[in-house]
Amino acid sequence: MAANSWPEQTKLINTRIPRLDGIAKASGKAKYPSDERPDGMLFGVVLYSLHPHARIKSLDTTVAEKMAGVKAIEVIAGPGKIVRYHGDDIAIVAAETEEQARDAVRAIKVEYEILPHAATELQAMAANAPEVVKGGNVRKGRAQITGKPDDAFAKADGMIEAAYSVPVVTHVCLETHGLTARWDDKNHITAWASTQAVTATANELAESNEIPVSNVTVLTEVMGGGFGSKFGADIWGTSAARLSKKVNGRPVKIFLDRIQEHLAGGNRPSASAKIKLAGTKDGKITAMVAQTHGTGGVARGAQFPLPYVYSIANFSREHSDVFVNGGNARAMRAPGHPEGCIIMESAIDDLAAKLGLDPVEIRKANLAPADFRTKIYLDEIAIGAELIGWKQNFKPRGTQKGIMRRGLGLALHQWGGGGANDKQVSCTISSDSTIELKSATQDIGTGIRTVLAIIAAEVFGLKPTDIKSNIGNSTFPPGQSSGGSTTTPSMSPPCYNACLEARDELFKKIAPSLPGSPSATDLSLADGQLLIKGQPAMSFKDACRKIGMNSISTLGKSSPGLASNGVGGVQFVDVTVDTETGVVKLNKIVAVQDSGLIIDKLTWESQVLGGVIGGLNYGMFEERIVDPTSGRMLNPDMELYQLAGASDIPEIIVHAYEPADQKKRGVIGIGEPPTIGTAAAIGNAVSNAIGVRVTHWPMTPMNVLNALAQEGKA
Amino acid sequence: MSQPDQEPTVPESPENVPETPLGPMCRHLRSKGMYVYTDGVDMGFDHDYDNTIYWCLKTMKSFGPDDDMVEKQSCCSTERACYQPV
Repeated sequence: MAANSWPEQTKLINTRIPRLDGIAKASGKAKYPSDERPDGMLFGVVLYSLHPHARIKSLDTTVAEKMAGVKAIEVIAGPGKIVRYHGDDIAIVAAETEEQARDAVRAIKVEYEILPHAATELQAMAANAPEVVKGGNVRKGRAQITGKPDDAFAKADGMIEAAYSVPVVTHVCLETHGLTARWDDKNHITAWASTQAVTATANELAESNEIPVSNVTVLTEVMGGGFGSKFGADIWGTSAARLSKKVNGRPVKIFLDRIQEHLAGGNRPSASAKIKLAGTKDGKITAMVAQTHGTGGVARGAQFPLPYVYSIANFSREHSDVFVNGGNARAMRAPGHPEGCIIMESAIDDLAAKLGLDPVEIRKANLAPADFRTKIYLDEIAIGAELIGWKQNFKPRGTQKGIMRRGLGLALHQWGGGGANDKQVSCTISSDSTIELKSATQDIGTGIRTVLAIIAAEVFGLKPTDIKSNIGNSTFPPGQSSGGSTTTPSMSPPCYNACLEARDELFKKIAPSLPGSPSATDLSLADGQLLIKGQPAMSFKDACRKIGMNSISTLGKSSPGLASNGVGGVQFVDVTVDTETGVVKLNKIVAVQDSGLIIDKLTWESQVLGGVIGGLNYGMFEERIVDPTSGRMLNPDMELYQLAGASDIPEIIVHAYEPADQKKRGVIGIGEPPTIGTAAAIGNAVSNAIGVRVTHWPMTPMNVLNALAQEGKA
Repeated sequence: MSQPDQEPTVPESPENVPETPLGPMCRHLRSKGMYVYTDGVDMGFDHDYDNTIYWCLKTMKSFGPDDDMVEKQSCCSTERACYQPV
């Protein structure tokens, strides 16, 4: 019978357990998809457009085809096709070596008709701008109107009008996008893919090659990050399969290089907002009007939630997606939320400054009364304020003097993080005491392999290292694609049920052969032992020998009560700003986060740390810089695309908010939430320090000095 | 990206477009959400904003075989030349 709650007393669940594959990953033994070298493998290299907007007039591959080592060429954008951004794919060469493929790519002759481009939002939104997509470059969203904002503004005690903006940032997965595809025979494909969705990748390879999905095996033993950008086979994966078919099934590896990763691997859209926010002198926000826009390149996706977190009775909002000749957006860790958080949290902070209110208090005054998160937020704010030393260290904005100024800021965020309830995990107990779990999910980095092993070890009274936790294979029972913080809440319930059922089957099967012929209900497992009526009787290994020749195998499904949906979270940041150079130094970040029942506190904490570090990169460093004249991205590499180094990362205090009522909610995902609020909190801390709002992210010296100069304080 | 010293040109008066029911989607339309929320459970997101990013399985791009954009609205229209029902 499926469970509807987690055990009250646990030995492993909710403790700190190292990752099962941690040593393999840290030592370099783990084999990532891009490390795979199946026999006979060819290297695929992509020819991409250097132009932001052009029509292919002609494409000649005859020279390239005859070059040493070249085995096949796949044309993606042939004559007559339009390329729409710097980095758009044109053709792929498969050759014996990567160098030969690169040489051949250079030998492909392409004649372009250069078309006028609009590579920046300003260009795209200008009158008479070149059309990026049919129907115009500005796509209006559905307007939001609630209450009577105009009336509320008229009655308000104070208001602010402000503009905030945050740029496009690109995906920077350590392992770039790609896969290696091999036709095993005329009807079967095996692919080693860096993907956060083995089943989706198998589906797309199958459909694009018109073979049954059961004929495709996608393998992802481990993978080097996806952050939302690695769903499906991608054009590079389907091309690898087509090229493999052309060369009689030899495996073809196509992984993007670092430049292509920045250009075409996806990005988080920009966000710009003009905001009016009004409130009463006691800090109740009464009205908000917002005009927002952003760009996801040649795709939509620039919408974001606003108002965010706070309850505002009267508001109106108009949003537009702007199309530019730039690489298209893909989901990036908490799609839309970091942008919405920056806009909302900046505005509420500026209103607090205008009304002379404490930023902590104005937030508490505007939480939605009917939202279950409100109590969570209030508790988390109190914990975070204590950990950052708000009471002792906070000084109102504009009260500091001197060159070096210290500031504090905070931001609240929220996310769903619930699980899908149609996933499955199989559990097999063999007579040699092997316990093997299988599911077609994959570890995007959250540690699901370890989480499943912990659950099984808890049920069987073993150590997590005793469990074979097999994931990353699309032919296993249907598992969750890793997106939206859904993997752990989707996979934990079916794993638990599979293990419980297998354990009960074991008891039923061996009970008659045990001394005294106990009933199955007299049996239990703990510390590697089989217990009869609470007394150790034999080792688990010996007990399993009684299974006989046929193993016990179960297939667990989800059941209500084991997972839930919806989290809050608050982050506080302490910074020091050099007002002469504009350099911001992060002193400390506090992340207080709820997520129901935490299965593994160690991997959970690792997720929060990773989220905060991703968030501080967004807040401090990252920006896709595009040259308006050439329409090219100027910083598509790891030198000029700025990310934090070790010395840029401050002390990060992670606090798990998990009172008993939280644990009873069951498992909720943690991937997204801790990255949402960091950049907003950094911006607020900087503004608190220097006394003026830095309206444009990231908090670079240039943007800080610009803000000071505009206020005449530089 | 609009720079901080330049005023963004925000379009005026966006249409107050009501949510209209769409026809069945093209069988080649894909999004991340289709693979994540396979059981159709409402994840509690605000329906006032939709930032779904779509691609076409035929082209593996954000533009379809007809060289027009891949979008929920247009990819649920049987009038689109490349539309194929599920």
